[in-house]
Amino acid sequence: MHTLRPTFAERSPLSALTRPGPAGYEVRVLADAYTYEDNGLIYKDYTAGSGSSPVDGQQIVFHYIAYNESGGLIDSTYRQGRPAETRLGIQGMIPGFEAGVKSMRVGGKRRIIVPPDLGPPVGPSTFFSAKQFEVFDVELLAVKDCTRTQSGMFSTVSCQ
Amino acid sequence: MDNTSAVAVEPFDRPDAVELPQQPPAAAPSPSGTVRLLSEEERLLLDQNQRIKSLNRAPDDFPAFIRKGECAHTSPDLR
Repeated sequence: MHTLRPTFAERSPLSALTRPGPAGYEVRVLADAYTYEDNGLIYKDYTAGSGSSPVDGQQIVFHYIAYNESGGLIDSTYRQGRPAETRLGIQGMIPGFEAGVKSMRVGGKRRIIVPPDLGPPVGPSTFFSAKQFEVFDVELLAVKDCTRTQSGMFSTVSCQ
Repeated sequence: MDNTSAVAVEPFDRPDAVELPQQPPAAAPSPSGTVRLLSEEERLLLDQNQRIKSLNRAPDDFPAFIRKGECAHTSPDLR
């Protein structure tokens, strides 16, 4: 006979969020003490950081750990041994990830839960095969200002 | 080659490794979300999610996900 052991939800009162969606990926998220934004993004700050938040056009330097819904490790810059760098506002990142990073401050550490609506594209030609929530632990290390310089017919962006 | 196990990954929710903000943001459920108790089916799904998370060595404070997929019955006797 199967006996239910006490679950996480029974041990502590949790706020749960139900995201309606097409059949197959209606998901309830149980995340206590997180901030829920209207666009579906969920995050929790572990370290607030200081200074101003990055804006479009700036380059951010950050470490991240990416997990799937089961807590399985997808990717990590800590494992790669060097932080990632990318510019904001060039649609180079997962939309939910970029939205979550934009309100961080340098030195901040945040866990971002990205819903499928704000996630990466899925399909046969992409890395992801199904609509899933993704969880990112992000540490914002630095923000750099970028300038575009033109030299003849070439144009380059340098950030420092 | 998978070298995941050989690499130390430091999640943020280890109490001795993080500096918590002085005023943590309060949880503010979205108006579109609903807060309710779990049904027995959801509890089973949550149990499964917790079990897989522990196998994956997810961080202690990792959120839980209850995914309601569609069940395709091949026989009326199959439960």
